[in-house]
Amino acid sequence: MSQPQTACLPDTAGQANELDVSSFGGLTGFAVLDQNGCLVSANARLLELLDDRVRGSGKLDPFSLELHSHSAKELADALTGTDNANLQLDFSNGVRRYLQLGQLRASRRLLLISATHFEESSQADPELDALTGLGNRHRLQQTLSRLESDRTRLSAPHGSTLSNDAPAILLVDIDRFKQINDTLGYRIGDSLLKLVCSRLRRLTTESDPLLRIGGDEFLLVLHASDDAHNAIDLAERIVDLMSRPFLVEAQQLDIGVSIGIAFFDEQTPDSATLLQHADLALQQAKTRGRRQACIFQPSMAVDAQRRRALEIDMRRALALQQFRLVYQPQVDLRSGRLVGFEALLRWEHPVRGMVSPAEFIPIAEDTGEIRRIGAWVILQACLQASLWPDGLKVAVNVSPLQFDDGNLPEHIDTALQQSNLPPEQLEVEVTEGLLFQNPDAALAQLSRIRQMNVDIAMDDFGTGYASLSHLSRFPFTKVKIDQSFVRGAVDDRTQALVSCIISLGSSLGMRTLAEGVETSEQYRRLQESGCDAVQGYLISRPLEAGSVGNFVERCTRQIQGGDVAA
Amino acid sequence: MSEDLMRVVYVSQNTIEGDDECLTRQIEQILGSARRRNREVGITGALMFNRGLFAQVLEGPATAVEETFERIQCDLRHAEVVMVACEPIATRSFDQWSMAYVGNREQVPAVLLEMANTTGFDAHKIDADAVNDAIRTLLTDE
Ligand SMILES: Cc1cc2nc3c(=O)[nH]c(=O)nc-3n(C[C@H](O)[C@H](O)[C@H](O)COP(=O)(O)O)c2cc1C
Repeated sequence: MSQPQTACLPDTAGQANELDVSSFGGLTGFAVLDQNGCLVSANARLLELLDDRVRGSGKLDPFSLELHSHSAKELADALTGTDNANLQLDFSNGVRRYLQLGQLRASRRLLLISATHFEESSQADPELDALTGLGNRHRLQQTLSRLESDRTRLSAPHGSTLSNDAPAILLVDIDRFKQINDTLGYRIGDSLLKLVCSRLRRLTTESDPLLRIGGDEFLLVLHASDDAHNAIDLAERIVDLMSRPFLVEAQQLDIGVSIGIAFFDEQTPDSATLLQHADLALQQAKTRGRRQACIFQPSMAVDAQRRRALEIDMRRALALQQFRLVYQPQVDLRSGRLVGFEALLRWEHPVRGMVSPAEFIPIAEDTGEIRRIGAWVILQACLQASLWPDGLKVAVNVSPLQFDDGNLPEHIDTALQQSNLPPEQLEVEVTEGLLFQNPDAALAQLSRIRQMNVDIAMDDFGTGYASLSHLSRFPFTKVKIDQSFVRGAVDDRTQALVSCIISLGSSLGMRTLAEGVETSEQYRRLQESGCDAVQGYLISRPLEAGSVGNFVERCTRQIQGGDVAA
Repeated sequence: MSEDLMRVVYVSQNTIEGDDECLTRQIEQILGSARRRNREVGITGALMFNRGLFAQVLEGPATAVEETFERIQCDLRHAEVVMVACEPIATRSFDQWSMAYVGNREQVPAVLLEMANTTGFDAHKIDADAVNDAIRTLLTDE
């Protein structure tokens, strides 16, 4: 600082209009500074807290206070700037003081020094996020209401707001942020958030409100002047920029963001709905694989609504006995004999009618309801199979989620005991997905189940990512060849693949069963390839539990005359 | 400067559009601000440009490297940044250069050619030291 050195000692105070703080008592040091950092007036406590370092010059000179260089620099910045400041002063001798600088009037600033932290509440704005300085969740309501009142004010007399120049909100969510926080700690997580915030700010203008409304969620408002293309372009730029590496504390961090975009158009009644729309679009961006932006479509709201209703109905379905099992016969290809049934879950809702498993199973898995439903399926299948003659097998589908609590072997054991079904008559079918989500826990439980003499089948083989090493590592007793390899026009390559799976299975000591067999041509081909068993419409559609007995009887009669399928 | 030294080596794709002249101007502009700003914060390093690809080595005090790298990250004149190295170092390789430059040249070392020719290359397969040394060799040959 090279300002002319004016003689300015604390006792020049007392002039007209000059605030005199020299008589202020208490534990806080007070001073009034002029624009050169000279003390116009100060109380005794201030001089004491600064260890008399300012008494000689009468000036708050950052570089002669014997401060640590970082504190000296911060203080110098605060003094040259005009903003209010809140600093921590670290002296070279290890002493720490806290400083606040506020504006009094044009050329005067009020300085406060304390040995302890100033009350946070006197400073911190409850609507501002302390980390990023952005508005927080508390500011959200205000931001949204403003958007609403702007719309009312601006909307054309005939209410013909085009969606193209409607305001938009962008909900920006950091993918995998929790993982970074958990593995690298909050400090790195916080630094990362600051960088994310500054990258967002770099792409937006100061007049676009930007809020941090959740740990890793930001909301950006784009005003009506921006057309739809702008919002989408911007979202794409944000996705691009956030996918670039971050460097924090000498570590490379790779994140990405998903973005939901919603326009405050005529069809959106209020700002709360707008926020829901952006959220639905965000969920869509995430399910599509993250690192992308999605725009809200009305169909998303319809789907979400239907899904929510379905979720509610599903929670009641067990108690209301709307679920039942049907059984699809499985036939041995060598003997033509009926060997067992696959139990399939059906949900018949009094109003909706039949709800497809393809629709309700994913929802049951999402909500965790699958655990209760899955347990019911196992018990029900065991109970019904125990009534069948001749040791026919029952195959039950198990969701990867049923392995989560580690107690699947116990649940199966209980079902076997309650039903008195011999364990070798039960087969558990698992999908390839299980092998990826938590392979170690899955392997441990499958091994225990196998030790109980229950069979284990890999379902839908060839449709996912299961590799040969999975087949050999897990205790499978059967491979089920997916119907997509069996049905329809089967070309030579597919046929070769099927033959390959069959010989692979048999060389690993597993049985093979082909699903979806519809024609006797397919039946014959599989028979020739050495496949062990089949199921499909050619044999029979899935049967109601009550019809199984009849079917078994018919098969026994037919078998004396030849193949079931013949 | 007592802070620990670190080094960042990355490769990125050029996204500058336009003719050669425009490209040259942009690169001059990049080098201009790089050299000015790097000198201020104690960063040294080298930038290579070839066949649409940048390779850069940044070395200096960790905080300065982080701040500079963040700024460079946000530069839309390149994209698809792949980090090759990000590590503490004991000494600088380019202590004489606030940002040395190796432009379109005939004698491009094999390791860089390989990088330039592979699209969607695997960063883990690139040896940071090799990039570092290759650029250095080019500089000292001058
Ligand atoms: C490939 C590439 C390398 C760059 N290297 C540096 C660098 O080493 N140091 C630097 O400060 N800026 C570098 N920049 C430029 C920054 O991205 C940014 O434009 C510049 O720091 C802005 O500074 P200015 O506003 O002071 O000119 C580089 C940009 C690109 C595209």
